[in-house]
Amino acid sequence: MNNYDAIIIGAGSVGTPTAHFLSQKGLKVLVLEMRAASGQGDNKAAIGGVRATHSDPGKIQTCIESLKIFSTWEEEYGFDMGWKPGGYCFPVYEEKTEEVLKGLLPTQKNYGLKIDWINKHKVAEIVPGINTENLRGGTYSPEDGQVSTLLAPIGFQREAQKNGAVFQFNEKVIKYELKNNKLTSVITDKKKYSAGVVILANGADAAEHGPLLGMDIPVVPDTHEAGISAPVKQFLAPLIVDLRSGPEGKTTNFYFGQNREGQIIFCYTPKELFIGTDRESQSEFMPIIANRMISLIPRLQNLLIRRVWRGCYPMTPDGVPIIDFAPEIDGLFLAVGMCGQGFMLWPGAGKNIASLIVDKKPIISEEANNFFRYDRDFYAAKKEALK
Amino acid sequence: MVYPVIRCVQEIPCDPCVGSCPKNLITMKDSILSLPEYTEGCLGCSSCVMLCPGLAITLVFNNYDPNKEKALVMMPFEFVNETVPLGCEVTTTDLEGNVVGKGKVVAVKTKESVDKRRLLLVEVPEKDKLLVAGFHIRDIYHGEPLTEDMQDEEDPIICRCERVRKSEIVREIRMGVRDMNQLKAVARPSMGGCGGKTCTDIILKIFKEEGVPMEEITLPTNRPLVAEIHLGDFVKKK
Repeated sequence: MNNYDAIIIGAGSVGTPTAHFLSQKGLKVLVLEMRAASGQGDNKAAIGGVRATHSDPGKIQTCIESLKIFSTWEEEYGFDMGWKPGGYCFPVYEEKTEEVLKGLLPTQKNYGLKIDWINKHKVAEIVPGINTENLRGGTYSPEDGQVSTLLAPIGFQREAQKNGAVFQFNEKVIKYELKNNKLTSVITDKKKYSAGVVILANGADAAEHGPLLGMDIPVVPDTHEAGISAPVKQFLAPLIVDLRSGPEGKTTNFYFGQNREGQIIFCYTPKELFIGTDRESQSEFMPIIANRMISLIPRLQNLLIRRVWRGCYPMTPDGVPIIDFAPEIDGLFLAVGMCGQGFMLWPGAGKNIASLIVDKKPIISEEANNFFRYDRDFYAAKKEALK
Repeated sequence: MVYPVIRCVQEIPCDPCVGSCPKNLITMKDSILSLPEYTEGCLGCSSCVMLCPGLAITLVFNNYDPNKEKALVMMPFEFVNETVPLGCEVTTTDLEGNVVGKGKVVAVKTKESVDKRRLLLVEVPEKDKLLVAGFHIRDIYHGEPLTEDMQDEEDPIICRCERVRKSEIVREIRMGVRDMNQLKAVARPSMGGCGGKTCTDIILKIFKEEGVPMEEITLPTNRPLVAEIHLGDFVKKK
């Protein structure tokens, strides 16, 4: 009885919604997770922002789907994923950022994103206490929101289980068997399984499976640090992204929001990347992010800081995930290299690949879907304007 | 006419008030352990109010209001400058902290040689002038009454930080949760400031009650005890 229609490797932000959508389409699904439960990898290091505010059409369309799923999940399935609407706001203080963001608006709107430029008074209204000196205005996308990264994988898992999906925890894949370029079985430290299709969804560990499969999986993890405060009264509806580089020379941007529990959850993008999977916290993180947050919203100085942590961004060379059948191996689907956006992309992407696998067509446009192809040129000079 | 109201009850070796008075009007009878006594003739210089380490002296200005309806009381204040309630109406209190009435903060006095202490001049009704020893810097907030019974024996609270009840933990265990990190994620026990210092053991007992063998349980990440500090404390003060 170790034969399944689909085996998903990894029960995180990618694997659990994929299990949900595949089992919903009637497939017999097995999820193999080396950790003790679902959602215990890098997905829980994510701060939970879900935005369709991207510059890449594939990401815009996929995240619009994600938002539909997250915002209606509780109504549909009765499980609370911690959805908090409120949008994303990118406050702008520099002329060049204003030009870039305004330049993106036509494309974003064209792909269905609800977004507009708002003036500084409107920014100050939706971001109470923001420093208005030199504030030029900003973008606001009211239909973006946030979800609990702690709850979402559990919600997807339980729904998948209702449809018969099997989850095996504490089980590590150690070998794949191939015959004539066809993936025939998956061998773990406990059992051997076979399936019509194997979906690799193991985040930061994806590249390690390259040698086991005999192919190149161009995913290199680097780490980002985040933190959370004690709860305070709800005052901040949108998530905030400040695209300015920090005066300390260490940050390229930073972002934060207030979750449904009332906690402020925050993160920055380091200027020099920390390559690898070392998840130890660093002493420089809090002083740097504290300076940035307080200079943007002075009243945040009163927050009590509860915890910090690091998590991996499984990066592809061009910063765009690989969501595609592996070209060299029959029966292998790659859902890897989420580049730190797996959580927000994946409900939409999971629905999309269930459609790709079962109905042989994407739910997003072919054009958008092509952005995620494995056979693209990863090293083309193409640069995403908004990562 | 001005005079100090000395509320000292400490028979300890302390006498800055004696030396502070330029007219030597404050004295101690027997020794440095005695309580200070005041003899008439105060200039209203406020040195004793500024110096008393116990913040036990107020100064009463009787000639403040020609109609004798109000008096001015000077009180020491040792909170940060941003909290000085200048111009505000405050609730005044007596020595024991009982509410006396209302007062209005009309002026703030500082002295260069003194680091943090400020002297606040509070306008109070004439009848309160000898009683008033302090005030609330903000009105006491007693919180909202709890809508649920916190002492429910049938379904006790297991995690006090996040107020997670036993029934919520039992429900998740019965849903199949065996990893305590996932239990934290889904029901929030141990997610508060203490990081599960108390509830972890109680949760293990609940697993046992539910008949889950220990070897099926994954223990939570063990973290050192931390104290939450303000975001502002990470920033270098100018």
